[in-house]
Amino acid sequence: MQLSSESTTTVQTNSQGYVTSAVTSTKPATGTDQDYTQPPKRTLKAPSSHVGAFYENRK
Amino acid sequence: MALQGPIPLRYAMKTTFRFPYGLVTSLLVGWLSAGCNQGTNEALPQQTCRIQQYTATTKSRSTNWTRQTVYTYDQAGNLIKSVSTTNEQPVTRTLPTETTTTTATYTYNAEGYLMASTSGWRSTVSSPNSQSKTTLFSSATSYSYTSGRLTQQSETDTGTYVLSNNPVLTTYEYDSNGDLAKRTVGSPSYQQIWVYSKNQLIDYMERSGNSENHPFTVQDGVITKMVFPGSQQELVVTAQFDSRRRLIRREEYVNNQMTQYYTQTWTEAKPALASLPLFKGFPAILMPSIVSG
Repeated sequence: MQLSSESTTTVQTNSQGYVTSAVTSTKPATGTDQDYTQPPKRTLKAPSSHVGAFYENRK
Repeated sequence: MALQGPIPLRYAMKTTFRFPYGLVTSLLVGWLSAGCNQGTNEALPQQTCRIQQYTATTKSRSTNWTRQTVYTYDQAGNLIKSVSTTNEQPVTRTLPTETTTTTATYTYNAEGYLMASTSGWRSTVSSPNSQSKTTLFSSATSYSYTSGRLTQQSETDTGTYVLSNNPVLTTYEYDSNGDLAKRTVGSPSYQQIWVYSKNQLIDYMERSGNSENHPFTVQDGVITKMVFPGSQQELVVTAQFDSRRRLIRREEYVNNQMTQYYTQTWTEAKPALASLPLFKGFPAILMPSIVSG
């Protein structure tokens, strides 16, 4: 139910202490969340009424 | 101007997120060049080291971002212009791309006081299957001073989604020591008021007519809790800081249930934008929010 991620930034500074470059890497999120769990695959079938409507429009 | 190259000192900063959203793997590479005083005869009256350019690239599985900001200074060392360009390029061509350009200008009088500033923002979203759409926003701000201290600024906004072109006034009041005591934004119909004591924020309030609301909790000069009420849900944001008032933890609660939190640790390195010059006559404690970007 909980996802987490961690980023690490490595910086270089000049002689006065100001950041001159920064590299941030972010690890892929770990954990699970049921809101994002992929639902089971199902075979979808069009209702027969839609099929009938299709043929009617083709006439 | 000679540029100071990076020294081989490395610092690591870690941030941790825990929240119910998926993150993609990302890599950000940013660097800047800073004009620094090398002990020459060069006149740098306000700062000895100033950021010249910022460039960053970020890559994820779905999107590549690039951002560049170029800063320009006058002979006296005043910031006179900054131009930022960002580009968001999706890896999948079916998704739209977005390019944003922000240009800020600053004008000073002969005594070196900032008298006017402008900001222009332009964003264009281009989709492979539809026409591109451009959104515009611009603002113009004038500044006035009393006894060498900023006392008022007036900002007028225009743009695609701006509902009113009426100027927004900000006034600054000082105590007998010359320290900022109050900053008020808006008109009597709706005002945001920051109250300070000895150069520390001690209260924030919102006034609308006769009603007064204190949505933020202030401790030791920083905001530690913000409450955003809603008709269905209430959002509460809490923040913790270290002894140097640097954010180390942020939490969000919806209807009293934590939905995400974020922690970070700090290095001793100074942020690059901290090298931007100060505006003469401005309250020092306001500088970070005013000169950012």
